[in-house]
Amino acid sequence: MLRVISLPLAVFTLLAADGNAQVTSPGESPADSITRALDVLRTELGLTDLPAAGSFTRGDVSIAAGTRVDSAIGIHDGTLTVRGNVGHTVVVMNGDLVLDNGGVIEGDAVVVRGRIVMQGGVLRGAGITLGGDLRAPDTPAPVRTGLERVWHEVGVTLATLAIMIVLGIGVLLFAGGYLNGAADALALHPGKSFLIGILSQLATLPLLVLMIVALALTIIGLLLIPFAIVAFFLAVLGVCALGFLASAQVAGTAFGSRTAQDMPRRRMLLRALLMGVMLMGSVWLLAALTSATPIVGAALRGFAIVMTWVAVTAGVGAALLSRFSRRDAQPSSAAPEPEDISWQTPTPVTGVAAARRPVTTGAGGGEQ
Amino acid sequence: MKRIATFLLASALAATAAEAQVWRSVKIDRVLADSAPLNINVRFEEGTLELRRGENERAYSLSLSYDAQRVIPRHRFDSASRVLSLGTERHGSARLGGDYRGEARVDIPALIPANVSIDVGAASSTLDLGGLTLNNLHFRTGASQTVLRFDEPNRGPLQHMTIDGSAGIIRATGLANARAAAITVQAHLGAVDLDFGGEWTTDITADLRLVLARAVLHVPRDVGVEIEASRVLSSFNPEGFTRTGDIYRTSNWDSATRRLRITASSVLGSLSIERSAPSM
Repeated sequence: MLRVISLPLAVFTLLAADGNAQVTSPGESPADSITRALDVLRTELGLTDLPAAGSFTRGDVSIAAGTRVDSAIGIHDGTLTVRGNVGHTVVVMNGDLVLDNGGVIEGDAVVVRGRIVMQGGVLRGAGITLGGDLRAPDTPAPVRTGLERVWHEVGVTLATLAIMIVLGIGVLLFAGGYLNGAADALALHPGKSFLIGILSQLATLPLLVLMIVALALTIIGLLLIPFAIVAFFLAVLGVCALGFLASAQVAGTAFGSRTAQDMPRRRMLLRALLMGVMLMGSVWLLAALTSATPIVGAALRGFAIVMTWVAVTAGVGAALLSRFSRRDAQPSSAAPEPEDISWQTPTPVTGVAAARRPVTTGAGGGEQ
Repeated sequence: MKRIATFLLASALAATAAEAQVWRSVKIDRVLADSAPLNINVRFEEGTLELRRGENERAYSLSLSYDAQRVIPRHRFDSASRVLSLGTERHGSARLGGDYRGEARVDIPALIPANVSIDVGAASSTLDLGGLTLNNLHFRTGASQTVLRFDEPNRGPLQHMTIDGSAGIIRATGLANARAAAITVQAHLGAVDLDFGGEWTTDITADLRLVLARAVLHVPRDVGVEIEASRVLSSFNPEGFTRTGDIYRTSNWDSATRRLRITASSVLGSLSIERSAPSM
């Protein structure tokens, strides 16, 4: 049901949001409309020799042959026919400008929502026709006050925290093995993890260059370079996120209550992860709350940055450590060493190795 | 779950479209009173650009369809210094990029001698420069796709032409029609396809500088080609060329009435030369 309602609603919103259709605001006075158009001509097209908004006349106007006008002319909702001489810019809104035989405009000819019709006259300046939506574009965001800045920083921090929590839950659900492996490695070897993390950061750029060089050796590889660069940065980002979450989980476990030990393992891990993320987030939140105060805010922010860097570095190192140690350890884990219990039974509990007997298969068969 | 996903998608689409856009159209043209040389600077930030010879051979024109939230028109003509600036420029600190449908068409007066400088950002551009009176041409582009054509010969010799592309694809055709004695092409992280077809009125010296880029040159069979290439981890297949020291020459180098001298430097790139139909 929701899908049935939401799609037409979205389509309606799309149509309503198309600003092209709306040219003038309903109920807007001609004076406002003229002011807006003159603003566009002034700010976007750099025109300076323009008639004042209050000097615009409504309806058809004709400059007779043999007459000269030494000021800028503005008319709206009508046609301006020039047969004489105009020494400045001419602006016509919601109408046409006809430059008739013998007519001369020394300045620019500007028509807003209309046409310039040349019928033998001379235009010395530029002919400019303007159309479309003449609303003023949004002004740049004003400088925030202290309290506004605090709210903004808090909002950004909470949003980031929420994203990290969602990401953490997702990783725990779908890649829990990697996360737990990294967290275990970090808990067991924090120093080693941090060192590996720093080394991996130092190796990132050379690795990227090496990858580009390797790809550039072939024409197909050359074409793949942009994609490879994007993929590389995504992979780095993913490992960093995993590292941060692993650090958060370790921190959460360390700060977790003893009652958590009795929970099911998955729930315990989730609890530890959430606690860790919130713990780290709380430092950022403190920095956000004090962002209006220069020294304390900057110090807390600096502390939060360093803390996060250490967490990500150690976490990345732990993730790499767990990954490679798992790979190294794989053959031994596949065939675990039996305990030394051979003394308990007269027959060897580890079994007796048996050689396969050669089998003959058909005429051409041999040993298998 | 599916319903929630649909709702989220629809909301995201609506939110994207609801981003305030202020679309305007403007057309600016001017008939020039005299034929004194012009310095034309065209700058276009994003969207689609078409540049060509104007119907009125003494007039220039700029037609734009633009979102005033992102860009504003660029039009300045200084009759004293003869500098004409056309195109768009970023509106304040507006963010560019993404899906943008802005369009521009620039008409250049054919009979007015001009030094033309074209600077294109993340845009798709078609530049038909045939039949103009270009003295110098400098074309620079960012992450874009460009077709640069000389369908008709330039009305006079073009002193120097520079094509500078970064992270883009540039295809130039009819380069002999440009009547340029010297062409410099720089490509970084992209591809250039240079067709030296057209009417050969002078020998051409081409300087190619490639970094992580691929260049393919199409040269008429009757034109003698000489290449001096310095390469670092780059490929170059000198098929049909005879090597003398560091210089490669085609077999018709001594007998050819028109010659193309190429100095190429390439780092992590590739250069290939294909022979096309004889020149006009």
